[in-house]
Amino acid sequence: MNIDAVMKKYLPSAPEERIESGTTRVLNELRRKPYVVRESLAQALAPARGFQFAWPAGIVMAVMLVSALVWRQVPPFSAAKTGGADHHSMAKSSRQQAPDPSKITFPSDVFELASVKMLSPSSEAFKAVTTEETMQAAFTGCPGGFAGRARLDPGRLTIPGLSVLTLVIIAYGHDCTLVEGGPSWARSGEYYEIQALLPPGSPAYTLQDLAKGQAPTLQRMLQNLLAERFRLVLKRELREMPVYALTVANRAKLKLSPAETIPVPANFPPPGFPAPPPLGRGQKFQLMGSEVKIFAHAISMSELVKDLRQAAGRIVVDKTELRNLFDVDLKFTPEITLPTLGTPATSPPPAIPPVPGTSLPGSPTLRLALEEQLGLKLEATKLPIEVLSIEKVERPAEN
Amino acid sequence: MSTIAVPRVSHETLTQDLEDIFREHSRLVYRTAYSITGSWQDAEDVLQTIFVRLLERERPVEFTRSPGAYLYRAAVNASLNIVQMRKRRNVTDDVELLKVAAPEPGMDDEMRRALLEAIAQLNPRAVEILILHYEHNYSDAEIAKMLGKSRGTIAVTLYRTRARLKKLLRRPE
Repeated sequence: MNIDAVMKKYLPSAPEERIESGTTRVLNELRRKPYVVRESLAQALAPARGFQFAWPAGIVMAVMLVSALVWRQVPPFSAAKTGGADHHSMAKSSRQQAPDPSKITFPSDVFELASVKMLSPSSEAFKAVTTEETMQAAFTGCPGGFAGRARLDPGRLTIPGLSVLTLVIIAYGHDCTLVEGGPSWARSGEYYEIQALLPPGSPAYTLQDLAKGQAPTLQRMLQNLLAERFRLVLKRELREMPVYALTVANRAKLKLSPAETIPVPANFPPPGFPAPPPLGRGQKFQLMGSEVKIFAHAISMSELVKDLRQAAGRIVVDKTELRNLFDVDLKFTPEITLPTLGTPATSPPPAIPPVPGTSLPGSPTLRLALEEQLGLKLEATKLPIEVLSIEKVERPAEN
Repeated sequence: MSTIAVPRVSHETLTQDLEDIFREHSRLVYRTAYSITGSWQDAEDVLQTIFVRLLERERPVEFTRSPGAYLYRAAVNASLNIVQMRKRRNVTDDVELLKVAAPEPGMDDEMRRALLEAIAQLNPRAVEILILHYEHNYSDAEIAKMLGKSRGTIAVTLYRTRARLKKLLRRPE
């Protein structure tokens, strides 16, 4: 056996695009703050074993797995089998970490108690959910967007009714168009009421955090609930898709007011509507229609790309590498005709290129607006994007 | 209700210097981890774990002296741990592992899996040299310089590692 040939043929070598997407993803994850670091997850992993992988919670779990090995079973970053004396210049780490005295014992990431109940089609709650779903589809393009009627009180999560698809979207913080597969009942038409008690010591999140995918512990609890009660099995894959990449064209145009609250411009609400209250940090107003207006105070670029996604007509990927918060005051004509209730989104007719030096009437296009108003650039490109496929899901058994 | 030890939610910030180091060396770490584990999820986990730890704890002297060398060693060790743990847990349904650059199913998949398992049984220091040679295409002289060893030591280690691999692949332990 020729080992040279075997190594050349069989040693896995990562493709360039995968290295690029993998390292970028990890960098983004490291920039997220706070992130969860755990030392043992043997029990936490068990309920979610049906998942092949998921992002971002999946990587947190996997990181915890590696952490458990590296930090507990063996000295820091030394392999389990060290093979005798070592006089390597990259000498072994001598800093054996002492146990952290401030370590707190939390329950594993499962709800203390959870009740899952299918809504009866004749119930008032069912009708309310279907109406809400239609509205949601019209405004966000997602048949199963985030339901605003959910409640998150200290120690308790109450979801009056959601489809399995919406639960997956919330639990994994994914764009709705990137969750596919599954039976039709799981995507729409069957809704489940969930009442869950959170274990003592759980981090305090808001519904906004959950909607933005920034409630990792709560999201893991939902993931485990889906795995246990709905026997959900997901598969993730990277798929090359046409997207828009958001980059910086003129950094000087991005600004942040130091004030805690900023007033909304008088011309923001449509005529006849009352003026909205001042915006606090992290808050925003968004108007969708033939003209889109976004006004926000102290939001991140990752939040902005989510807001642009619907009007842009495809996924927008944050490639600005900006980690600060910014104020946003943006007005533009959407790239696609935004749907109204009951009508699907359509692509606009091909645009007639403007004569150089002349201005277009009305609001500029999204690309122009971003460049002129925020100093950001939108470039069409193809990137590997993570897609979640529902491989298996079952109706839950009785509580 | 079961309880497990969950240390904390970290509020450490990714500092600019660490981000610069990440940009410079993340590809090396990722490629190394991918070669040893054969899984891009594992490669990402290795990369993230190493940097999370650097964020969380005091940076080792070895890292300050030579970040690239430290990160490479950390990548090899963490990746070997993953493969060994995978074997202990008897995880045989790693779909991704089977997909890695495999032109066709069947014998190739088995061979690739056997190779990764054989590498996981080697001395980590030998794996460092093996991966630098076969994945990163460094010459013996370059490896010797990087690892602070003589060229002869590298050549002998590579020779012995090939022989050990041959034995392991013929008669898996």
